[in-house]
Amino acid sequence: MAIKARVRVVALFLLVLFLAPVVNLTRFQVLRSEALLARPDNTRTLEDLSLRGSLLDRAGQPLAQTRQGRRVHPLGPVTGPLLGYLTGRLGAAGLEASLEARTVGYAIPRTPMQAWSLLTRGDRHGDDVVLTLDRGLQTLAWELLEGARGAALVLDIPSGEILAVASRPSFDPARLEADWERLRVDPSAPLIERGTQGLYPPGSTFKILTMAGALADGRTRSDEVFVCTGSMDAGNFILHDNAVHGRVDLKEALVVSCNVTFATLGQRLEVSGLRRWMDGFGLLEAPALVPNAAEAQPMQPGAPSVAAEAGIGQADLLVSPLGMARVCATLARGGIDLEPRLVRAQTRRGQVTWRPAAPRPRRVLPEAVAGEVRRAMEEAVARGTGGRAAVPGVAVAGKTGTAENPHGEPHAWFVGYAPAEAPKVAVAVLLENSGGGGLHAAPLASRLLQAALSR
Amino acid sequence: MSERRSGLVLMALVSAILVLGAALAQAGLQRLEPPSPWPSVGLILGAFWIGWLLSALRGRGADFMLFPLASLLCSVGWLEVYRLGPAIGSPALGERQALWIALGVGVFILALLVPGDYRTLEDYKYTCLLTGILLQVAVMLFGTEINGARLWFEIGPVLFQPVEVVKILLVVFLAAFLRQFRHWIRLGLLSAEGRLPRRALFLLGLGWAAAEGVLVLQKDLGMALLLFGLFLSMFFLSTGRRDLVALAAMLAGVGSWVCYHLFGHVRVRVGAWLDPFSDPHGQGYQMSQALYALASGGLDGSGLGMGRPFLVPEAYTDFIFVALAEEWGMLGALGLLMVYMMLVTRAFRVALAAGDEFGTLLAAGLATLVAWQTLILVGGTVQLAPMTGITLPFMSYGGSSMLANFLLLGILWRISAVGEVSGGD
Ligand SMILES: [Zn+2]
Repeated sequence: MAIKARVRVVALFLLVLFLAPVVNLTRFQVLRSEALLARPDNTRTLEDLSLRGSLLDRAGQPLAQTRQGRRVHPLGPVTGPLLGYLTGRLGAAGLEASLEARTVGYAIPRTPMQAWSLLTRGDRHGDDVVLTLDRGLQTLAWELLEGARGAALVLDIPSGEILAVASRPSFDPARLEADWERLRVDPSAPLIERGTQGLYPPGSTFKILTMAGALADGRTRSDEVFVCTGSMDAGNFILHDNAVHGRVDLKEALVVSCNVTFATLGQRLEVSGLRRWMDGFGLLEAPALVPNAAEAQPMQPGAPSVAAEAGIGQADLLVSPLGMARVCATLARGGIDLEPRLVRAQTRRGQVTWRPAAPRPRRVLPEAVAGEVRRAMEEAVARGTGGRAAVPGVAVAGKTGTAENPHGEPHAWFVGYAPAEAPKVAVAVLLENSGGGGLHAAPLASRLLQAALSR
Repeated sequence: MSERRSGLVLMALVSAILVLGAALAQAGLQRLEPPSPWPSVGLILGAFWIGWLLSALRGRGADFMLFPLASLLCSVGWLEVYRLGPAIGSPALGERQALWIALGVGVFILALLVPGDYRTLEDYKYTCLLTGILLQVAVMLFGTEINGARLWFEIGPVLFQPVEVVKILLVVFLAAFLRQFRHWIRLGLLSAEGRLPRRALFLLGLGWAAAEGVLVLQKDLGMALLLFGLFLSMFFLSTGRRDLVALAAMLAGVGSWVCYHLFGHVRVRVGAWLDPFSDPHGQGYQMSQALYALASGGLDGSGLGMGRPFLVPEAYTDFIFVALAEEWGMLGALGLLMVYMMLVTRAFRVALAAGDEFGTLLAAGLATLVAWQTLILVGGTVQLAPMTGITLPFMSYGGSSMLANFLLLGILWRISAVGEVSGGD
């Protein structure tokens, strides 16, 4: 029967076609396998998510952990851009990416017990990383930023540890993949962590650095009297003040935030002097234990007005909220800097397997100079521009800022610390494009300081 | 008798693979706290052994290898589906697939037990055609839209994909129609005086238009390819006109070229096929992930439950072959291809042994269907063809395709059972 002969032809034809996938399987599984695995967008090279260690807060509560093959962040948007993400599809970002080496692997066993448990239990889990964050404070900082764009950061003064760093807008890590296309192009940049990576003109908060630098360099004395006429010639244009302050001494100038005084000090320090003091306060180098932090961007010399403008935190100078909190904390310690840190330890089943070296105290400026600035900051809150940062029963020291910027309304700043006489915590609050720092940022700082002190 | 024994040995092997594989998968997935595989394994094995015993007892010289080969594919597919479930956040996937396998075997048993002769199907060829067309039109009008394609009916908690049944109805129709009219078609061709073979061309044109219609209206590249491949194969089987088949294949090529230039979604698919790495996070995502899965599997695979096949979207349906190739390695993938080749070969043997032209055409048609479907799907996942949304017979997750494939198996079994008995003519 002719049909049956043709059945054989068709069968043979189809069976031969089965050789085609064999060719391609050989290509991809054997011949080109190495090259494919090495491609940068291949997230398979990341270790299996289920073996990752957790990220914990300072009390050991989980902030990021792997559940059923998925990375979950229990605080959700509260830690959104700070922790970043870890997904098979999008790869890793934020602390999840920076701490990958620690959460994937484990520290070299140091005790016989650790070595024994590693050998006998075949334990392939990566270590946990304990962060310096305080869960409650972090959540409060996030809640205070409700409805705003900006960041709020709390620094523990004795240790230099970051207790909270909240950033808005944020994203919900549980819905990241679904929202990805929107998040990626969102002009308000919800994927950027603003507290440590956001760079902003510091505005008047920078005056504490200008004052400290000018005093330490002998460019002014605490009893020098300045005459403020409400404006001054900055070289190539007229710099306007927020008021006519008349005759003010140095401390009073900081209390009322006199632009004329600090622009004058900026001119005396010159761009090189200001830059040297930014470096002295450690702003020009990102702290090693705050992954992804952005170092400050100093002003570029150019027009004659740059030094004057930089003296009041304008020009093209940019600092992160972390940077300004660090300056505050250094002044609060009487001129001693401790590098801020976000990573406390690496642990395995609660046992510490690695701990960073203790921070090395570094004297930035004489204690007497720091004391002058501290007294002025204390009065700035007690009776000056920072009045709304006051906390009942506790003396607060601080400085407001209202930073002009090319993106619209000025940014509202407040940096400060408390208690003024025996400082424990420093804060930095930044609200993008929301107007006056004394009016908008200081009240948030008050709530944060109060909560941090009663912790 | 010895063939029955080989079937029995294969069934024992299937049982062992399923039990060992389930234990391995459960161990490999420990961290994901997977549901226990044993109720599902029990259900599947129970169904398999009942199906096997019934087919072995009732068959008078029927093909004893078809069912065990399909069981082998089902078991390996189930292991991978069970293993993927917890990793993609739906741990009950394995249990549901086990239920579908059991129901599929039920359909197979039903096909064994239905009284009468498969040849009566021939009388219902137009019913088959009409039912098929109605189902397709109905799903286009009233179906549920998923991922921009209207290919499903939602019946309670179940998604029914009518095209799986329509394919079989189409094979029945084509086998009956071509058997009845093949001489008439050849007559049309043979009329000399330099006239065109009008009837044949008309028929080919119809088949071509149907396939292009599916492509344009349903945006289903794989199904269009499958329908056309099936149609051409059966046309060749019945008429033997290589020249016309070649002509039609060329026409299809032209049609594809036109579609490529007319329709954006076809261009996108083809682009993602030819160079998945040009847009690895967008259109090329699935293909590039599939290639990474293949690469990380290597020659011997990562081991069941030890790889990361869940990174490939749709790994449990369209890309199950890639998931298997990752965890079972290239050796496992080659083994699976060989099982498919054996299944197809056995199906063609049924066609050769069939006692009548309709039986031969029907069995060969069903064999062709399985072969084309496997080739198109596997080809789409190993970058031989644009990826398509069709399922891998007996392996992909899904009720419609499982039931339809067991129905197909049942029909083949019926043809084989009769063929041996009256094999003299
Ligand atoms: Zn003034």
